[in-house]
Amino acid sequence: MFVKVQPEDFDPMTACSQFASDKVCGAGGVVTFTGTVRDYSESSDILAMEIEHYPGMTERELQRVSALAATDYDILDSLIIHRYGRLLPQDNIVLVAVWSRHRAAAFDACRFLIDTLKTSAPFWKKEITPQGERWVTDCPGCRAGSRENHHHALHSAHTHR
Amino acid sequence: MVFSMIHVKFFASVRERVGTEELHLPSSKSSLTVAEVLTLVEEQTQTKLGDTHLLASINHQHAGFTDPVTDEDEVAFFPPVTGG
Repeated sequence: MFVKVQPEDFDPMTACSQFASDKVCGAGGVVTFTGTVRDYSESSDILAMEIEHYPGMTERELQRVSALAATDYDILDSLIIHRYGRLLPQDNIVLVAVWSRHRAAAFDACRFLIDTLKTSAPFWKKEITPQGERWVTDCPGCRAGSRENHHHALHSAHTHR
Repeated sequence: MVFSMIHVKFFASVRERVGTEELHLPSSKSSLTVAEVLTLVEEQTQTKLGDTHLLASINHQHAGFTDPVTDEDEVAFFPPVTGG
C-alpha cells in the first residue's frame, strides 16, 4: 500500500499504471475513485478551494486506513494520493485505487477507504467564493452517526447546518 | 516549577481563532489530560474553544479529551476534518 500527500496534480490512469507493486500482478481488476473540486457549494459559486492538512498525521492516518482495508478486505494492494494547497473547480483532489483478484472486494475496499479517510485524515477545505472565504464545516463523522475517530469538546452542544 | 512541556498545534478555523499555529506550554504537572491542555490554551490565548466542535490528537493520533498527555507530547486541536 502506498499513500502520498502532495500539492501537484496527478493523472489517475498514469498513477495507477506506474504503481510499482509486485502484489498487483495477480489482480483481476483495479477500482479507482477520483474526487474533484465542485464549482458550487450550498450557497455560492466556488472560485477556488484551499486545502490545509497536518503534515505527519495525515500520512499516518492514510497509512492506518490503508492497513485496515488490507486486513478487512480481500485485496492485493491500494494507492491513495491526496492533494493540498489551492485548487480550482474540476481539479483533482484525491485518488483512491484498489487492486484485487475479484471486483467485489476492490469496490468495497475503495468505498471504505474514501469514506473512512473523509472522517479521519486531517484535511480541511476552505471555499473561496465571490462573497468571501469560508471553511467547510460539515462533520462527516456526525452525519454518519459515527463516534469513532472524532470527539466533541467538553461542551457537547453543537449545531449542524 | 515546570515538570512538563507540551507542544500544541492548531489547524484551520481553530488556528485562525487562537491566532497562532503553535504554542509551547509549560506545566507544573507531570501528566495532564487533553482537556487540561485545552484549558491552558484558553488561558494563554484568551480564546474560548470549548464551545466549538473540536477534535484533538496526541502525537499524530486521534485522541479523546480524557486521554493523558505527558512531557514533550505534541497535542493538536482542529475542527472536524473535511478532506476527500
